[in-house]
Amino acid sequence: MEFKQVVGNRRTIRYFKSWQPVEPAKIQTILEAGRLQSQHGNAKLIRKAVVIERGKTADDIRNALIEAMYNQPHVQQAPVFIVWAIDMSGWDGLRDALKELIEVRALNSTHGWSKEFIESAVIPNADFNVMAGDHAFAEWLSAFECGLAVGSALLAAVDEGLGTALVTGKRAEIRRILEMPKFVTPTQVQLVGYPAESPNAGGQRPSPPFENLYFSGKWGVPLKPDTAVSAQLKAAGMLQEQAPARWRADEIRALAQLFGLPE
Amino acid sequence: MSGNAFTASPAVQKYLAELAGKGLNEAEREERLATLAAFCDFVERTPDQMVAEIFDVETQKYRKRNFYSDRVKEFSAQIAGSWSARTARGNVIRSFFIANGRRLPNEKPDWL
Repeated sequence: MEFKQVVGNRRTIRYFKSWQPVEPAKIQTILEAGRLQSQHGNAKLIRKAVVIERGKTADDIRNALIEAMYNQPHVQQAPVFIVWAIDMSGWDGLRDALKELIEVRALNSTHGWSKEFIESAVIPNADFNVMAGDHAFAEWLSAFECGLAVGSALLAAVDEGLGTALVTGKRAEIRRILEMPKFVTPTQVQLVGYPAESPNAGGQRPSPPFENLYFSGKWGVPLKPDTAVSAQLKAAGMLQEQAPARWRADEIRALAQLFGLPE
Repeated sequence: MSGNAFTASPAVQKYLAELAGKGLNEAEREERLATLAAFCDFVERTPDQMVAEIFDVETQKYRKRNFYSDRVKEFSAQIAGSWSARTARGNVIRSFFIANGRRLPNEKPDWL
């Protein structure tokens, strides 16, 4: 699928075909999309995930996770959970990761990089080596970096023809169930499966106008979208019909009956 | 509780407001209200009492969720018919609670 179409097709899917498993190759593809995403200092060991698969993971673990995610219907239905987590100990590898980037010629002397520069200027600098400074900032940046991986993983799931969604839950419970160490924090749980609802889930969700989000030159000066570009993005499938589709209420009713859910 | 008092109660008004957006016809709407009224008789409480009782606003925690979850299951089981038909009966009560900001666990079909 073309990238613009993937971005346009992404929805939070809330009804999954619980009976249709997800192919292992597709799960691996989703995880690879996360692994390859940009990461501060290439310290990629900070973002990790536990994969839970219906019929493969022990039922007691999966059921406990469903409970920890408030027994939401789409959690009950989704055949795969990817529990994304931040491993703060992953920052320990920052120095080596940077040196490795020099060795593979990603960081070069053209930009002032050397192994000595890493030791004498980068590692002591809390703006770069976040563990050398305010821990709250380190945690914030870690969440940001993990989010980058998850964003790619969501798009990869759509590209594989799957439905996906992010849900939250009782983090302490999730950590306990999955036996995560103290320095690991579970973040969002990515649900993956084949959608039982129409893949476009009744249309693109409401989003603030472009110019309310993006500024030109300085904060508060609206950056206006070019209508010709918007038309191109519509043609490419990135900008789509807004929800709700006229048939959406009927679809929800049918799905409620299928899964025995209240309307 | 008289029919008027029942319909006028704040909890039922919230439920009616939710139903208004679901494209139900008059008969379907009346059937759901009748089901809700039957449940109220079953648990011997008014709609407002049920909403007040299930959740403790002070502590922000459910107080009698299991009680209502169990009663809904018993209420559903009172009628003959398929699992879907019985579940639909209980789901009227779940929808009522949802309209009032409270959630009861849903019934999962065997295949899920």
